[in-house]
Order: sequence, then C-alpha cells, then structure tokens
Amino acid sequence: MMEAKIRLEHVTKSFKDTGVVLDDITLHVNDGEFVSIIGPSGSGKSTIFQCIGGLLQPEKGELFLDHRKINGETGNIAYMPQQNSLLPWRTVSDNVLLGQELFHKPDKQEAQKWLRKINLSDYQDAYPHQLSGGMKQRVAFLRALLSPQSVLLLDEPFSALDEFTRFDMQKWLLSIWEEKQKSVLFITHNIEEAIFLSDRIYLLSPRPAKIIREIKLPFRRPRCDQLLMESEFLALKREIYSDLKAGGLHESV
Amino acid sequence: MITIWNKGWKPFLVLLLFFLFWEGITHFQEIPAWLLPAPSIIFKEAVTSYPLFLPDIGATLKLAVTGLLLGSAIGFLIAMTLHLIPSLRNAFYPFLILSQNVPIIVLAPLLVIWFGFGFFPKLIIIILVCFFPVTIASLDGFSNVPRELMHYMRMSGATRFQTFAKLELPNALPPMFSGLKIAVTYSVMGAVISEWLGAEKGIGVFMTLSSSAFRTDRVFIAIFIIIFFSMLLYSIIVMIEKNVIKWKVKGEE
Repeated sequence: MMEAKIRLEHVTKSFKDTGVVLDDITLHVNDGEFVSIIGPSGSGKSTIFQCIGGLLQPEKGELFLDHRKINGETGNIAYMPQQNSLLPWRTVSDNVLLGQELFHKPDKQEAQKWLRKINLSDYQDAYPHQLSGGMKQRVAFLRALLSPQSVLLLDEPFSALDEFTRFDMQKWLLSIWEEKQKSVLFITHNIEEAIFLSDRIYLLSPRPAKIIREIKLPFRRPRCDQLLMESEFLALKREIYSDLKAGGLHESV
Repeated sequence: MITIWNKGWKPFLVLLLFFLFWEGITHFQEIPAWLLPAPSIIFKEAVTSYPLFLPDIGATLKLAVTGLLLGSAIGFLIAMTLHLIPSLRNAFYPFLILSQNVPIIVLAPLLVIWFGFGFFPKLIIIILVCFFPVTIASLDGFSNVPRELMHYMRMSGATRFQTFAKLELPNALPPMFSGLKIAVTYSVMGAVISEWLGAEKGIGVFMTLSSSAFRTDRVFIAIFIIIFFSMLLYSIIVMIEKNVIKWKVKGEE
C-alpha cells in the first residue's frame, strides 16, 4: 500500500444556520493519486476543501498531510477554484507564477517552459480578459500545478465550460498531470468526468455529507477517448448513478 | 493628434460658438468692459500683461502640485492604515467625513492666525481637500475585492500582507485614480482659495487685486488660467492612469 499524502479522519463540521454539513468524513489521497469526490450540489464538497485548506476548523476529526496534523493551517495545498480566479491585472505568465510567489522567488523560466508546453506561449503577456474560458482554466490549472505544494485541490474546475471544451480540458488535464504526478483531490458532480479522470472515487450523500461509497477504478493510464464507450465504464457510471440516487440524490446528474 | 481631433472637435466647436456669442453680445448690447469684457479684450490683455502674472502662475502651481502630491500620499497612507487595522477604521471613519464638514472659509483664517501667511497654512488647506477623495476611493477599492479572488488567495495560503500587496492594492488602483482625478481639480481651486487669505504672489492674489480694481478682464484671465491648469493636471493624471491600468476593469464575465 502506498503512503497516504493527505488524510482526513472523522472530520465533522457544522454551521449555525445550516446545521451539520460534514458528518464523520474519512478519506485519503495517496502520493501521486487522482481522487475524486462526487456529490450533489450543496452537499458540502467545498466545505471539505475549506477544511483541508485551513480556512475552516472542523469541530471533530483530524486532517493530516504527510502524517503532520494540519487542522486550521493554511498554505499546505495548491488550489484551483471553480471560477478561474486569475488576477485581472496580471499577465498570463505573472498569474501562473502567483502560487510560487506566495512562498518563494518565482521561477520565470519554468513558467515559460510550461506555457510553451500547453501552447499558450503566444499569450504569456496577455491579460486574462483576452483569453477564452478554456484558456483561462488552463492557466489556472498551471498556476496550481506550479505552486510549490504537492497536493492539488480542484474544485469543479470545468463546470463553467461547455461540453466540448470540457472534454478537451479533461484529456488535457490528464496529459499534463501524468507528467507531474502530484496528488489530486478533485470535486465534481459529473459522474463521467470523475470516472474518466480518477484512480479512486468517493461518493458523497446530500447534506449532511457522509461518504456512502469508495470506488477503486480498474482502468489503466494513460486513458483515451475509447474508454468512455467501454461497457465497464458505462456499467460503473450506471452503478454510481444508482448509488447516488439511493443516497437520496434527487436532482439529475 | 488625429485621434485627439476626432474626439475633440465637438466640444471645441461648442467652445468656439460660446466665445462668438459672448463676443457678439458684449458688442451689440454695448456692455461696459468692467462689467463683462469681450473675449477679444481679455485675450489682448493677457498677451500684453502676461509678465505681470507669470510669477503668480508659478507660485500657485507650486502650491497646488505640492499640496496634491502630499495630500494624495497622506490620503493613501490613511486609507492603508485604516484598512489594515479594522478597529482603527471604525474609530476614525466618522472623523474623515467630519474633516470635510469644517468650512474652509472659517478654517483658513484660523490657520493664518496659527501659522502665519507663509506656504505652510496654505498647504494644509490643499492637503485637507485633496486627501479625502483619495482616501475614500482607496478604502473602497481595498474592500471591494471580488470574493472568488479573495477565496483563492486564502486557500493558497497568502499572508495578510501578501493579500494586501497582490490583491487588494492592485484592485484599488482604478478607484484610486478616480479619487485622484477629483483631488486634482480641487488642488488648483484649493490653492487659489488659500491665496485669498493673504499671500505675496499667486493667481488668488492676482484675482483679488484685479477684482477690487474692477479689472474684470484680468479676473477672467485668472479664471482661464485656473481652468487651464486644472485641465492640464487632470490630463497628466489620465495619462499616468492609462500607463498603469492596462487590464480591462469592468465587464469581466
């Protein structure tokens, strides 16, 4: 068994106005592993991230990074939010370097190298408003990837993109990630996306969020388009869908 | 040049018509020059007697620019302090507004009693009128940071100072320039008003002397000088703004 990079044990969190949001969440991400959390909107997925990010203190339970307790401690993870959150006054290359800048002197050359690699070197001096939605998300992902932390939290990063861009971005994300193999925790409410990208998936119930199932995916990497049509893939998709439904999920996913 | 002309010919035409109308009405109605001199008389007077008021322009400009620079710097420092120390903000914010409620007309003679007729009391008046728009605009810009950007910075482990330097400060630049534009128009006015109290040189002095001698043509010269230099300083600010703010401010997603 591989070493757990990040580990949550019996994490419980509630808010005054909404009651219990996270109910005894235990999960882990191994070193270099891609793990997704699927759950309905409003189930508290983002609350999990805010606990890991150190913005929220859980009432009960503990969070570990490399065996070190990190409850309420910030700066341990690299983050890619749902909205790209690029700083509008920074050029693309300066935005990419922001994550590094918070911790050490930024490496301009590395940023340029990666921007070339993702075919955005023509845009390195452009401002975010000049980019398309997909390009912005690429820059935001690169910013997280080049941050010094070894764990990436991706919070529904493609939910604002159209279907075509979305699939392109998923493949692109995998190709880049396979090169740098950081540990990833990925939030989504798109079942297909989670199966296509992940090594493991946690299914979350509606609020208060509990983990209703953990699924290890048998597919090999690198993953390709055909995977989406394989019967095993489709069977898993159905299974997850019915699990979520049994867990009390009413909205269509 | 061509673009300036393309944009500027309409107001220029209006101005021209206005002066023609003015010229015409003084001729046809035979209005005496001490009541309302024709633009042509004002222009002639300006050309012949400019050595008389050239030193006045220098004195007023020096006062206005020094006051503007100091006032804006102080305004910015006040905004930064109040923003970074919220308890101070609550304690001092009402006094900021109070400072603008004290009538300058009453305050100015007091300042003369305290500090004499020199440069210093006049400077205080200009600072007093210039700092306020900069402070209010900066405070506004510091605190109106888009939520998702703030969330990203906090999740990524930015310190308080980093959040200020990399997010809140650049975010405040556009409103800060709006504040500066207001301050710049106040600064020339402030300088002239402060000179009314008593000074050796200055457009304010030139204006008072001309007015009490019924040299209405010279009063108008003073008015045009004030307008000209206010606009000049204003356009310098606009130029700096264009060089500093290169990103798109509004209409983003």
